Amino acid sequence: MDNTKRMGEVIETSTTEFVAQCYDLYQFPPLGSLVKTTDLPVELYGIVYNATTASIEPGRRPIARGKDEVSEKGIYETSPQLSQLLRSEFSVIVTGYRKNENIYHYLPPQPAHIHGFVHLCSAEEIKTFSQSFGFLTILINAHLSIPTDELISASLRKVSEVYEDPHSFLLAAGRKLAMLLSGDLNQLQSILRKIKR
Amino acid sequence: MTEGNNLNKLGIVVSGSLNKGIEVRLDSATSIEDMVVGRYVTIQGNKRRFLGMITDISLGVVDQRLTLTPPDISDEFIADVMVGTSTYGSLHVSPYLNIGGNIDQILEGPQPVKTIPPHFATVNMASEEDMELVFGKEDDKRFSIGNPLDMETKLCINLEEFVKRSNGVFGKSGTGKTYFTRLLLIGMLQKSKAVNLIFDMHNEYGWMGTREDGPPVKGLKQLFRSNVAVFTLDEENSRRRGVSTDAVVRIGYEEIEPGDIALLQDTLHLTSLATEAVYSLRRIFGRKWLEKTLNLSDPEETKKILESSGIHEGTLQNLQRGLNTLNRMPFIETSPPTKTVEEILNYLDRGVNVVLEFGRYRDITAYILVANLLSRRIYAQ
Repeated sequence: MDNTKRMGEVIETSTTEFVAQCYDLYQFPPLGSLVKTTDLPVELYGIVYNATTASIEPGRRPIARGKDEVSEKGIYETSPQLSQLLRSEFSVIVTGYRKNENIYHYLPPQPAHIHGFVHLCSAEEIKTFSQSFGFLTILINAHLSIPTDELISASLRKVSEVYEDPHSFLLAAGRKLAMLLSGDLNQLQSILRKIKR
Repeated sequence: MTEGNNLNKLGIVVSGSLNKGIEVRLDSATSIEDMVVGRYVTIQGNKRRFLGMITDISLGVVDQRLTLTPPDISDEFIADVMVGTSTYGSLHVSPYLNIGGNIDQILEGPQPVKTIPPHFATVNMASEEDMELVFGKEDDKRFSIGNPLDMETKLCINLEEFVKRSNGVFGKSGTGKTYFTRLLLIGMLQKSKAVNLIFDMHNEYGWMGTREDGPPVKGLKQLFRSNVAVFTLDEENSRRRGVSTDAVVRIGYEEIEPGDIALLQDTLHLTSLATEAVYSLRRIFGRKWLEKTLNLSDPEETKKILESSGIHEGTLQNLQRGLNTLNRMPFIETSPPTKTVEEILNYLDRGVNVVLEFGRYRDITAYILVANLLSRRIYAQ
């Protein structure tokens, strides 16, 4: 397994989503990128919808330290313990899974395991996964802390990067969305404005 | 992600009925501007294939709000996405024939439709082969009348079958109704045994025809000299146009029967009582009823006749006014030298086609009178 793409480890899990902690502070995958869990017979695919960085102890909030520093980088250099006291996490909404080389665009039978490794998907995997727009249905119906149109447009922008002709991919995706969101034209137009190139 | 590779696919059936036709929703890849009314399409059902014609084209939106607040179509991407998804084109197709299906249906050949395709059946452009299957190839009996819109296939009709039925040529002005009718007549003269009697109200079929964009075209007499006789109601007009006519139509007063007047009731503004009175007057005066009715001037005699027949005076006046309209037509004479009706029938019996030119008499009264007079006599014989 290519370790350079390994982004973190699952620390909280449910059928519909999971939270992974990054190995290094602030090293989360970009919003909307496609990630997967590995090492199990069933590989879960998901889209990154949120990222946070906070103190490792819930009751202990970070304090401002930069009064005498000239740059933000300087704070971390003078207080090297910070990288151990803080942690970055990202949340992933599960959008499908792979079993026996087949990709399914619906929820897996079981959730991810705690400590499961989370990897960024390769360009090939993204292409294979996005052959069907089934994941859009899951994103539209999800109730997340981030606005749905933001998440959908971010994920489509991310996925389109791996295509030689991103325009036709986005056009096809837009048409699919137009069908799915035929009852909500405002949301449709808001997404379209965010994915146009 | 990829749409059907079938280049001819237009869309899918979304609703419809046998009577009112089928509603087809166009695929987003199909441009509505490429659709033309009158074009043939095939619809692939589960068990059979249907041939139909596009009769209407319309635009639709999935959400009416789009028509109130249209999307920002200055943005090319948004326009590309919306067209064909949120907004769409639709076709109205009238199904005409079943073509193909199982072996039995193929052997039977094209049959009139008795059912419609199911929901979401694929609609394609009719191919050249489909048209050939329906219209056949040109041969001894089939006559080529042109091509379908934007197609190379020849449309052939079986004229022997064609003349057995009642047919009409309809179309908007300037679309070639006259030209097409002449083509059908030429075909009938060439390939069928039918003899035609043509009431040529605008003098277009006998000697020379007009065309909206181009020089005049040859009429039937010029093309088939020995097979066509031209009769005219208006000799002077025909002579001026340089038409060689075979006979001049003259109608005697005695040839006009009460039944002919009954058909002219509306055109001559006759009351129903006046139409009834015609029959009484025919009984009283005999064959010369029309002439005698018009010449009734002696008040004593008039009174006597009115009393004996029970006709009101006003009714007689109404009738006389109407009959005077006929009297003013120069081709109606007291005692014409020849019996035109018989002459025309003689020609038709000999297998000669007759074109009856109306010359200047283009008003509906002359047309209804002459057409009815002749067709009633022909039918009676």
